Amino acid sequence: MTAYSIPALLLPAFSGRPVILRAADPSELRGVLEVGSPERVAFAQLTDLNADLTPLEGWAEGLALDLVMTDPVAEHPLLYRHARMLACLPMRVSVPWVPGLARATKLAVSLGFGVRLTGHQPVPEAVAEAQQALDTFLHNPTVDQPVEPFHGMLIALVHERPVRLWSLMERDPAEIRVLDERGMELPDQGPACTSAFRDGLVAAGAECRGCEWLAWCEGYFKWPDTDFACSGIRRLLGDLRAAATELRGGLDTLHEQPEIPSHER
Amino acid sequence: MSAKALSLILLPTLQCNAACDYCFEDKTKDRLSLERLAEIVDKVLDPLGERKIAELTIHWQGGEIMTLSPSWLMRACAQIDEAAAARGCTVSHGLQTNLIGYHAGWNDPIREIFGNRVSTSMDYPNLYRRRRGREAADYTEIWVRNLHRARAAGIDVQVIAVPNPATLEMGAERFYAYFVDVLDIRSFQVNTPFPGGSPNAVKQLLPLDPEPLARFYVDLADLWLARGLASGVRVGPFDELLAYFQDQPALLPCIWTEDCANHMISIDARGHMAQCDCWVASYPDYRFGNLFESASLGALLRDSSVLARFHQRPMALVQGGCIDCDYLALCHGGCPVRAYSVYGRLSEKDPYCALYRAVFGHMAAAAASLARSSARHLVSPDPCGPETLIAVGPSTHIFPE
Repeated sequence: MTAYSIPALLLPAFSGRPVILRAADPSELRGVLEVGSPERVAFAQLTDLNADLTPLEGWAEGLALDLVMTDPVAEHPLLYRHARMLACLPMRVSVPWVPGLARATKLAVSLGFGVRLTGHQPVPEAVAEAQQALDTFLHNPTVDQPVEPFHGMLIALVHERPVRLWSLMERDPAEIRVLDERGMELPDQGPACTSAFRDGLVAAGAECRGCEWLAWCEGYFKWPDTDFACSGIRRLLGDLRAAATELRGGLDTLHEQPEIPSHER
Repeated sequence: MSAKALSLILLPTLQCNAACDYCFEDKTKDRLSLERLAEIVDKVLDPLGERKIAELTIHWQGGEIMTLSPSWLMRACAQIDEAAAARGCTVSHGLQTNLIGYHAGWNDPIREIFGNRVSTSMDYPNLYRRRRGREAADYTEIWVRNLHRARAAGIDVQVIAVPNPATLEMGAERFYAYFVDVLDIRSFQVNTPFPGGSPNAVKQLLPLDPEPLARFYVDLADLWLARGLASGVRVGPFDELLAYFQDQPALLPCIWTEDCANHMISIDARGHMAQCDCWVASYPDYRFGNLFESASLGALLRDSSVLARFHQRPMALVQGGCIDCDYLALCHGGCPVRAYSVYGRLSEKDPYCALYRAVFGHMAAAAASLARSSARHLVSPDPCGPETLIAVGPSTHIFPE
């Protein structure tokens, strides 16, 4: 079922439908959830990291909260203010795919937040930082939190099963529709239909044709500018595949080992 | 304050029967009455109940706690437990004592309140722990005698040891052997010394040179891994770091948390509240306020500009070099009081940064090595687990030093 990402105050108008609530002020979230139907709320997004989460303290147990960052360079230290709430709320940070993402991602996972990278068509500097963030996610022994889309793709690659980047990035309009305060669909969220967009790219002869990642990516990085060059992204995905291959190899070896009788240990 | 649990370092007395050279506390004759304690307890427990913070751990310290009577402590703890139960909170108690004043009269409260466990302190060699006007050897003799008496009474005694220049010169082997082989201590931890409180000649030697100190720590970790781990000896911080890097729940010391001001407060016999015992006893300008003079704990914390400065410290450090550290998740710049006592500023990272990085790296490598050597004995479940949209917080806990 499609979920609707809506300003929190619109909750009463969306009866019976799963929603993602957006608010800059935690008091607003609390206000609508106290009278609304929290069971329909997939999660809530806090859009101002300067906000004080105290209104949710001791009250919103179980409400999943997504801290939405807009400027990772300026905002990443603010995560310290919210870390104490990890003890009672499942929380993640949405980090835009722009310069500053490596530091923001590193601090977020170091504090115990999950991370989701957001946005389309990163500049080369941001792709390089995503490579750093991937390295932190894969190799730093202190990291135990998921960083999407790396986490979802790694699992899919290890188990050799399909996954859709539009879904992992929560940008597939068939799954989530983003509405403004009037209840109107926000423009520039993505193509109306991802499969039609993908097919159009292939038919137009974009570099997606023949790309080994097409089934996963479906042209995610070709929106909105279909001329976006994906070489940096393909390197990133290649590193992820190499890590998955290594991990699967290790698992296969482990499963092939006969168990040692206890008296030989 | 953390949304789930709080540690309170309670100093019901600032009197002490020792005069250790590197002690960071300015001693006074103040003692907490049961009436005043009730006021503190109400003010601490009320907001915990309102905010559904279910777990409070009280670390009883001083001064020296055994300058009070066992019966006072029994009555105090009963009073606290009753008040906590009325609010649906759980309180656990820990006891930190120098053991110099220990006698058989302490056995009942230690058994009934503290689970028959105490934490005490001793160095090797002991150069600086002593009674007023006496030599360190006199202190060591009394401490060892009382250690044996307490253990004969069935008390589990854990030890905190602080290395000094002679410790580093002597080396980890003799240090480990003293505690484990000579004293038969099964659990001890090593803390780094810092020049907190009023300056003196001994504190001028601090902080210790991080390079030989790191060598000592790494050697000690290796000794523990080789000889202690399999036989059930625990040596902190190595045991908890190993657990951390093995992805098991870990009880890390308070110096390694994202912001200790989220997890811990200290209150002394005069009602002063600060970040920890060193701040409350010796740095008046860094107290959050006085609980007896405040309407509530919540009001005191909300209005404290000092507390805000503590919260700002990790935010400032992460904009400096800490963000580039592989062990940011463990340390977040380390201990504020160590930084302040050495540099005179809160905004500095812990002076033992190099030591911590060496120890973290060593224990991470040890955990990886142990995992590799045991991997062939395992048939592993899927290590990736199910996909997670939003994951929960870290599995670590903290423990005051």
